[in-house]
Amino acid sequence: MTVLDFSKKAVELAMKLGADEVDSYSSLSKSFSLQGTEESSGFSDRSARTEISRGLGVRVVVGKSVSYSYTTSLDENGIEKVVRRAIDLARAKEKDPEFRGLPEPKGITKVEGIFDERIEDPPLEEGVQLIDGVLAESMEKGLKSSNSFLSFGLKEVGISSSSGIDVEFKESFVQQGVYLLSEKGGVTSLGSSFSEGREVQLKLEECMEEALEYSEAGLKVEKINGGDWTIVFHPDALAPLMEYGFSQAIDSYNVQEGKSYLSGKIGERVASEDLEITDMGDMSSGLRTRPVDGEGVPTRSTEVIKDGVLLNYLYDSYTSAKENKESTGNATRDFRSPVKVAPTNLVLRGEESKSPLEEIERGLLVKGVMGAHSTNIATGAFSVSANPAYLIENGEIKGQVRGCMIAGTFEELLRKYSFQGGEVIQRGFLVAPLVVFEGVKVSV
Amino acid sequence: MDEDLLMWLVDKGSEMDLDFLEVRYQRFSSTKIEMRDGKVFSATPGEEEGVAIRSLRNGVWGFSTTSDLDKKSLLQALKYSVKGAKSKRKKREVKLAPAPVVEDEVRIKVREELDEVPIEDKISWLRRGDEEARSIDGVKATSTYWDYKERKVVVNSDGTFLKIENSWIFFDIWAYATKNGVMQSYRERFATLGGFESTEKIGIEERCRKAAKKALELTEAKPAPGGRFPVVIDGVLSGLLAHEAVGHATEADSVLRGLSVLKGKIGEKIGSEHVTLIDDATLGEMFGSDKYDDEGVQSKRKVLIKNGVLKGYLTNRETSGELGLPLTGNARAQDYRHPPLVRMTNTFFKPGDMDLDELLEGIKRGIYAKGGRGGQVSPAEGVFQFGAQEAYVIEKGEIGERLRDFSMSGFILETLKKVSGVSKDFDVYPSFCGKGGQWMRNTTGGPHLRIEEITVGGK
Repeated sequence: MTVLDFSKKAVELAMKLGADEVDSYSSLSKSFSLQGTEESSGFSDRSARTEISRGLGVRVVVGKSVSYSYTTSLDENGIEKVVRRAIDLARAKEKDPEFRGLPEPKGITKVEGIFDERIEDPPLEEGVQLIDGVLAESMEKGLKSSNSFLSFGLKEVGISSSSGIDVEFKESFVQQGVYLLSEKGGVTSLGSSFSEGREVQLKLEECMEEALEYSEAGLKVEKINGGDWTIVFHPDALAPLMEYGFSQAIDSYNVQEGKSYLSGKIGERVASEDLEITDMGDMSSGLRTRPVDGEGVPTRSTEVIKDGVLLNYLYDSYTSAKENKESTGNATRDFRSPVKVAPTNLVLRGEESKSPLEEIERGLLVKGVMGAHSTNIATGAFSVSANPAYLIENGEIKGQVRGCMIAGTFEELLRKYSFQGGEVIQRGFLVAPLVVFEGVKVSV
Repeated sequence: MDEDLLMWLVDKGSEMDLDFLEVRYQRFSSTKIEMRDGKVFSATPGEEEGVAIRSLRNGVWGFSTTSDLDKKSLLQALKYSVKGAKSKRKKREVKLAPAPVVEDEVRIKVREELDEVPIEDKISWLRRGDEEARSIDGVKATSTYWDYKERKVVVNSDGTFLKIENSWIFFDIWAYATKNGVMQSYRERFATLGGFESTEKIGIEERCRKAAKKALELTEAKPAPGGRFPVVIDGVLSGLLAHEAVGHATEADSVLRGLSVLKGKIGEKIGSEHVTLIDDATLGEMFGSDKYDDEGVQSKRKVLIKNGVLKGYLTNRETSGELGLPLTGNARAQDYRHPPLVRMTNTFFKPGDMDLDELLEGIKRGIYAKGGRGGQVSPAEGVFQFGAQEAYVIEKGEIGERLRDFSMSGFILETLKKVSGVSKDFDVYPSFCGKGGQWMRNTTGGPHLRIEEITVGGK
């Protein structure tokens, strides 16, 4: 049976057992991962990991009451049990007068580059060699510690609903990275580089090169004073900040409940007029690109901010119905979790520079932040440690800056956007190159 | 599933020329309810079941996990695991620390089994808190109830056969308050091992009222100043410091990989005499407690730092054997989908003999911070950050004006030496800690603590 067959079976059974409406989300995930470590005093380790996970979630509606349940037991008994549990719960739960029904089928969005067939037979042996190569090179170069990993993932999803949605699709994921620690004269410096994509392509050598550059750049320590600084954010640092400081603020659930600093600001200027942020669920090869969202609604592109003006929030079928709008296809879900709203691929655009670092007279390149999850999601206020961070002077990296903090609100940060440039990469939902903000508060 | 299949797998594995094999089965049921301003946003009961197989050959670990539990799929999973362990990779000698062979059955004492309580009762309980919070003008709330009941069996090639039944509940509320156009939020949280009867000891109304009031008070707070200040932190924050700043760096897997600033420092003075750090998994229903870890090793109380001197690391069988240090029973896995890593359990600083007033005394201008908003550490570089829920200016030893959005960052080895006072009170905070893509339940705690100087992020 395919994953869609499991979902169809659950839908059929739920309707037979008295549900008014039902949808089901099933998935099968397979992954193969390799990892290795070398440490300068002789410790080393190697491991391999395989994961096979299958599960099914249902959402059942009985008289405007909506409930969920999930299981990993996909035999007849398992499916019947999960469906009965959801129906019983829906009967016991209070009605939701604002519920307007599950989405109707509207076809699928034709998307490209989300599945690479080579994932069925991943190049594990080549991966082992590349990891060993990275580790050997690290030890030859006298680094203190080196860690490298490679992971191949395949996911099959099947979504079926009583309103007639029947969709099934496959996705592939390849993650790889290098994490280096070097030490010189009592100064330790971390250099890391990761790559995440849909295509089966081994990039550990490129990762190694970039990680080495950062670890070498960090061996010199520069001292700075606190104050207002020009900050160049690497996507590794901007992605977690945006996850807590921005994506929650454009989630229509938070907006409708007045729990977002962007509530009621549609049509207002909320960012620098150069900034454009678009949620592109249909982006070619995006890490969160899918033909439909978690409830089977076709994905699309939604302009969130254009010319600095807030144009749209992100919706699923429930929140959009409340405002008599169409869903933006941002329902996210796995078999364990209920439907929620989340960005897909959030693309940042603005004034472009080919090599943004060269345009910085004096500023900080922030490659990572610590503590993004302590951000106040309602106000977007953040106060994080910039680590690793590097001083840039006259377009060149001078050395590492240790122990500095960046603070402010995301609302202010959006207005401080200046320009961006360099290679565009994806981290989580963020799709961006290096992004420059002016006048950000730094404490040391 | 038929638990005899686990022994069958270990027997099959014994024919495969391995150095070690471990099979861990887990079944759990869980219910998560999210309430948003009085409305049940979602109520999701679920069941999950799976097996993890870990094998070791010539120093290479193979790990596989599957939720397909028929004989054929299990055998395939065993083959994947063994293939991983036997792949052509750099060999090394691994001496797993010898652990007593355990045959035991551990069952948590519960009055009301979580899977026997109707979900309506769980919803009503959560509603009590939600209504209490929102009874205060201008307050909105998002609250979560989450329970978990598991059965776990650990079998290994040494002969250990361990059966564990455990359950816990977790509660969390975010209160949002708006006053004069300013919105602020505050979180309260509680979690404990036990059955549904444990909800009685949470005092949900009181906690939710507190969250609402604090959120409202924060609307009148000023943003925290940035720079270097002396700070006094409460027990919840000192717990975060114990966990983030120090605890992670004592995890022996990070030490072995050269990714901890505490490597090679056992016996050295790394903090002031006020610093005594303990990790203890034997504390009854505390959220990080377990009788055995996921390698079947009995857990215990460990003094990691005593009066500033580093005494040891947290270990699993591999790191204990490798470093020749005591086996502490700290191998923990989130669930059947993950291999065990070296993790903390209940981690705290030991209280001292001072009062809060004594800690504040003599501080000309500093900050008093309370309540945790989460933190993060890079043990390799020894840098940490954590955020507080509320903060106040300290002026001439007195607590003054209210601040918001406070967080601080420092270097482990520098900060521990700057701890200049510890109070006699004690507070704890349950949470989930993330490491290597796994979330583990744990508790952090400690007394009030004074740090002579640290970097504060702010305006």
